[in-house]
Amino acid sequence: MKKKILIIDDEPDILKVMTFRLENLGYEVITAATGIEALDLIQKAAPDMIFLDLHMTGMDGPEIYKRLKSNERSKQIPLILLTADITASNSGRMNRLTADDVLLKPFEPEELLKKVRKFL
Amino acid sequence: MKSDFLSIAYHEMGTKLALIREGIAIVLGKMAGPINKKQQNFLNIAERNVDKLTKLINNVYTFQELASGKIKFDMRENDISEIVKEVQRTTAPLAEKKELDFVVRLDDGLPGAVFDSSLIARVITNITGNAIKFTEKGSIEIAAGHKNGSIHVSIQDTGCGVRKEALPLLFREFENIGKGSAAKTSTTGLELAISRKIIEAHGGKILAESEFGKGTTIKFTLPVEPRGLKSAGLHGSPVS
Repeated sequence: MKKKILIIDDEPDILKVMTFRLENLGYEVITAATGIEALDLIQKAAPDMIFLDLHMTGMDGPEIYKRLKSNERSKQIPLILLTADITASNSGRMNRLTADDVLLKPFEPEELLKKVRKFL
Repeated sequence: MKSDFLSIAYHEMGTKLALIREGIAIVLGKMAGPINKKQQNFLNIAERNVDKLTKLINNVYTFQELASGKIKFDMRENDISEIVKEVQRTTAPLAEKKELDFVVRLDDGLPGAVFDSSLIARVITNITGNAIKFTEKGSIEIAAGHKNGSIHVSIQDTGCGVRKEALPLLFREFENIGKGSAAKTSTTGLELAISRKIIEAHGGKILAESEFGKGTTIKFTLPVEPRGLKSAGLHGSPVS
């Protein structure tokens, strides 16, 4: 059975290219553009891995993160933070979140693949 | 405030450019279906120029961050020989492709010096890369020595050279220098200006000597124990 990856990002173009790349690698991809949508999808679709954009409008990345990690169903799922902010990893913002990993935007397709292979 | 603006603009542009690059790469990689030779050629132009634009934006950002003293230097004792050898390893394939001799001359007993190794590696890589780019036959030589409390590094090529009147412009940002009709490209962009900022922030000096048509030598010094550093925040904090 195909492994399922959830991508949470409010930038539709990013969702499109990431979905294309990951589907090409043989994964099933589901996407959410908002935190509410994401939390709903996790209950219904039970993904094997999550990519979460740290900077979103509405419910922000850290808030979504907190909810995901306090939810019984989602807290065991490997979670990779997406961020364009190279300083965030040093500033402690991400350390406080203790995500499973971080993928810096912009990233090369190989880096995306590496992160996926690490957990799936 | 200005830098925050620049930083946000930089990250925004980077994300957008990455998406453009992805779109092109997916089509060029024939993942979205077959394309013909002509389509491929035009997409290659687009891809090449997105890469150039990305590099330019990265350099503008780095230059501005250096100019405003925002980059934190990772000042530690380092061995310049190791840096030179590392640069040789990464740039030698480019020289080999053009069948240029690549010589490295390191004086015995070079002392350790305090500098940011990744930034100094960047300076030597840039200058060496430029030297290879503008040299069609002959050799590239990187030499390192020690005199009067400073490390002296020189990168010499047997390339097309720079006209005397253009030499002072070499380290200025965005100067267009006629490198002679044989030169394939005539703009040095920002790399040398960035190199100058990095060397000067370490308390060193950088200069160029050239004979038009015969070659160019770029020399810089690095104080073994830098004092009075020109930019803020230079003391041992990790590079962000």
